[in-house]
Amino acid sequence: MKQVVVRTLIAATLVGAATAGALAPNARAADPVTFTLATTQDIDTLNVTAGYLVIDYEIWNLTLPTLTDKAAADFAIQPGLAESWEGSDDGLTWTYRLREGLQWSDGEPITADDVVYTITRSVEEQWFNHTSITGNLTATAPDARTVVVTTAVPDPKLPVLDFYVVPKHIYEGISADAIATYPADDNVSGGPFTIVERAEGEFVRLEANPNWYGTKGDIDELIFQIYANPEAEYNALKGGDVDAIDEVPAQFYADIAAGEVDNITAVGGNQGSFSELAINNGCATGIGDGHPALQDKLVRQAINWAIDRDLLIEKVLNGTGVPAYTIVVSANPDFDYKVPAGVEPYSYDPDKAKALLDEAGWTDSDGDGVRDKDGVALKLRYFDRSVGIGTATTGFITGWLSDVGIATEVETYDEDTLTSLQGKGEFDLFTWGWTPFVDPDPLMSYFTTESVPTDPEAGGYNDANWCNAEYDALYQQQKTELDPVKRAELVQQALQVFYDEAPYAVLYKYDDLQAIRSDRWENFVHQPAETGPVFFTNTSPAYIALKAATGGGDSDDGTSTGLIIGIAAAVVVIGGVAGFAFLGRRKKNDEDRE
Amino acid sequence: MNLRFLAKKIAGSIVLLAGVLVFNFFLFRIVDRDYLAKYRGRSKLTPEQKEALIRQFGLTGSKWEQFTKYISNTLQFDFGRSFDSRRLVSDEIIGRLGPTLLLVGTSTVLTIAIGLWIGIRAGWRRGGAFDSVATPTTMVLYATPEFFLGMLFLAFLAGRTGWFPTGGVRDVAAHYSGIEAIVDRIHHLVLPVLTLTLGYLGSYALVMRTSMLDTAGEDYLVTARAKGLRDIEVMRGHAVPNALLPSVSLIAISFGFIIGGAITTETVFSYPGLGRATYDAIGNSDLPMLQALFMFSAAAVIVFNLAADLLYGVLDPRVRRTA
Repeated sequence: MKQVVVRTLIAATLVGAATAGALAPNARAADPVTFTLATTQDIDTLNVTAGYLVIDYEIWNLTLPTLTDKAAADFAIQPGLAESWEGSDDGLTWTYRLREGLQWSDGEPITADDVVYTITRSVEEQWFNHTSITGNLTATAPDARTVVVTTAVPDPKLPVLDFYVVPKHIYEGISADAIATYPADDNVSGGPFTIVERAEGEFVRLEANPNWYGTKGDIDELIFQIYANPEAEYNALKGGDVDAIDEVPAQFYADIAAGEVDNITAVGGNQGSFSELAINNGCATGIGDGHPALQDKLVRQAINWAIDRDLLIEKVLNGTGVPAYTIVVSANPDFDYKVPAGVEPYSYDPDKAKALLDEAGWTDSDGDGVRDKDGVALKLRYFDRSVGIGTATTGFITGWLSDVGIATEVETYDEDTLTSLQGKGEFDLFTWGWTPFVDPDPLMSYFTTESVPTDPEAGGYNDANWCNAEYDALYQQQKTELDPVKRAELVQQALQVFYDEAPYAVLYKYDDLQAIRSDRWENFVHQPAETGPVFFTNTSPAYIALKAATGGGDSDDGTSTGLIIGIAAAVVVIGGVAGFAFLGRRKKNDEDRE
Repeated sequence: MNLRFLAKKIAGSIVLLAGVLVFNFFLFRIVDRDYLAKYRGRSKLTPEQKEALIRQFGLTGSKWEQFTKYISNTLQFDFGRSFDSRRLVSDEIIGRLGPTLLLVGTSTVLTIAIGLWIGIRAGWRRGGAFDSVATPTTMVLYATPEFFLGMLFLAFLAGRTGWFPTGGVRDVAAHYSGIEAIVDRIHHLVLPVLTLTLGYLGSYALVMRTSMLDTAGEDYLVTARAKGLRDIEVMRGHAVPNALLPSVSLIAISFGFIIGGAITTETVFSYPGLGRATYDAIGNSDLPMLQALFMFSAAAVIVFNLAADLLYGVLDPRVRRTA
C-alpha cells in the first residue's frame, strides 16, 4: 500500500514539474530585457567610503551620479548632474548649474545640497575614494540648483568633478563611527540603474532607474553574476548562461578575436593597465634593505635592456598587449610616454646590458657566472605574486637576467604579504602592475619622494622605493599647471626622467580580455574608442548603449531547453531516491517473511 | 544506555572542542601577518586611518587580551566582522550554510546509498561480473581529483551542450517561482552533486565490499543457508546487517564533513557555499572568517564523531561493555 502512495507522489511531482516547464515560455513573454555579465570578482562592499575593487566602481558608476560625466570616446568632459559650469578668471572657483527636476530613485529631489554635503563630509572624514578629488575643495549651495566650488590651490582637473555624489537624506542618518561598516543596502540611486537584489557570492541585480536624468537604454535588468574562475565564465558564455564575461582565459582570446568562435565577439581593450618588474631603488629617506647595486641607474638600465618584452607578450599574454617603457599614467593613451627622436626605446639587447653592468663596475671576477663588486655578488631577491600571470613571466625574466650575469632567488608570496614586504622595503625585485585613472595626477604622485614608505605599518605607494628631485619638481609643476598643452609637456618630461632613471622595468600594457554574445547584443561602446574595453571602464557607458540584437537574439533561448533537462534531471534524482526507498521496503518485507 | 559510557564520550568531545577552540586562536597567529596590508594596498595610511582600522578589526590590545576576548566572543557565537565584506561573520556563514547543506548533504546521502549498494553487491559475488566492473570504476573515480571531474562535466555537459547551468544555484535572470524555482535549483545541483557523488563512491564501496568479504565466511551464514533461506535472504537478513557496522563510523564522520563544504567542487561550479567561502577567505587573508569556518567544521566533525561512537554502542553492545 505504501508503495502505491510513494509512486503516486512521484508521478504527481513529475507531472507538476512538466506542466510548469511547458507553461514557462508563456510566463516569460512579458519578461524584461535582461543583460547578464559574468565576473570573477565578488563585491567586497558597496560602501563607497570603504570598497576598492573594480567591480565596486562599476556598480557605483551605474548608481551614484557625478557632477560631470566623461565622453565614451575620449574622456572629454560632459554634463552629468550639472548641465553647465563656469569658471572664475583665476580658475579657483567654479559654478555648476544642475539640471532641472533631478530625482533619486526613491523620489527625493537631487539638489545642490547633496553635492555640497558629499564634498564637505568626504573631506572631513577623509573618504579615500573621494579625497583625491575633493581634498582641496570647499563648496556652497546658493540655491537648490547651483553649486559653487572653490579650490585652495590651482587644480588642472577642474572643471571635471567626477566624485560619487551620495544621497544626503540617507547618509545624514549614518554617524562617522558607523560609516566604515555601513552595508550600503539603501539601494538609493541617482544613476542609470538601481540595485534591487544582492546575494553575496552569487549576484547583484539592478533595474533601470526610471528617475535617471538620461535616456534609458534597451536593458531593463542588469545582472552581475559571480563566477569563481575564468574557465567557468567562458563555459557560461559558450553555453549561453550569460551574455558577456570579463575575463576570457588568454588561450581562447585569440580565436575569439579572429572571429573563429560562433556568436561570440571579443570586446577587450586597454585602459592604461600595465605590468612591471619593480626594482628597489633604495631611496635615502626610505626604509628597507634593497641590494646596493640597484641604487645605480646603470644597473637598472641594464635590467631594462636584458628583457625581451616582445617575447613576453607573445608567450605570456598570447599577443594581447604592447610593450611599455615607462609607467602609463592615464587611461587616455594621449598621455602615454612618447619616445623622443634620437632615443632608442629599451629592447632586448643582452650585450648592451652586459656593457652597462661592466661600466657600473659589476664584473664576474671569480668566474662563477654571477657578477660581483667589492666582494658583493649581484644576486637579487625576486618576489613573485601567487595570483595572475606572475609565475609565467618569472621564468623568462630570471633566465634573461642570468644570461647577463645577474643571479636571482625566487620566492612566491600572496598579495598581502608582498604588499607588507614592499611597505618595509625588504625586496630587490618583484612583479606587479597598475591601472591608472584618466587624470595623470594620481599615478604620477605614487612615484614622488613623499610616497616612499617610511613606516612599515603605514606603507606607501612608491613601490620602487625611488626618489628623484627632478621628477618631484615636474610632478608639482603639472599639478598646478592650468594650461592643458603645457601640462601634457610637463607630464612627458617627468616620464622622460622615469625612462632615463629606470626605477622600474616596465614590461607591457595588457588588455582586459572581455567577450560578449554578438548573437544577442550589438553596439559595443569601448572607452576610450577603439583601444579601450567595453566593460569595467572609467565611466561605464556601455550598458546604456547596448542594443538587443534584432532577430532571434532572445537571451532566454537556452533556458527552456535547460529547464526540460532540469526536469529530466529531477526525474533521475527523484527516481533514484524512490528506488532506494523501494529497495529498503523490499528488504523489510523479506525480513517479515523470515 | 550505560550512563558512564555516555558521560565519558561526551566529556571527551567537550575537551576536544575546547582544544580546537584554543588551537584555532594560535593557528592563525603563528604566521605574523600584516593585516593592514590588504587595506592600505600601496596607499600611505594616516595615523588616524591606521588606528581606525586596527580598532575596527579588533586587533587592539595584547595577545592575552585578544585571546580572552576571542574565547568569550566565540562562546557567544560572535566571530567578529569579515575583513573582506565588513559584515558580521555569523551572518556570512548562515547565508552560505543553506547551499552547502543542500549540495554536500544530497551528495553525501547519494554517495552512501549508492556506494554501500555497490559494495554489498560486489562483495557478495566477489570476482563476478558486477564486481569486476564496478570496483575498478569506483576506484578510478575515487582516484580522480574531483575538481578535474567537475571541470570535465562543466566543459562538456554545461559549456558545450548547454544541458546544465555552468554555475551558481539558480537562474537569476529567469525570475522563477514555485515549482519552477525548485526544478531550477535541482537543475543547478545536478553537476556538482554528480561530481561529488561519483568522486566519493569508492570509499563506501570499498569499505562495504571488504566487510562483506569478512562476513562471508561466518558460521551464522552457513546456519542461515542450512535453514533453507534463499541466497538473497541470507545476504539481506544476515550478511548485510553485520557487515554494515564498520560503515557506520564512516557515514557519521562524512556527515560531520558536510558543514565544511566542498572547497574545490564549489569553486569549479561557482557555488556560493561554505567551501567557496573558505576558498575566498584564504585568498583574502580574511582571518575572522577563516577562524569561524575552521571552528564550525571542526565542531561538526567532533559532534558527528560522538554520534558515531554512541550509535556504535547501540548497534554493537560489545563496544559499550569494553569502553
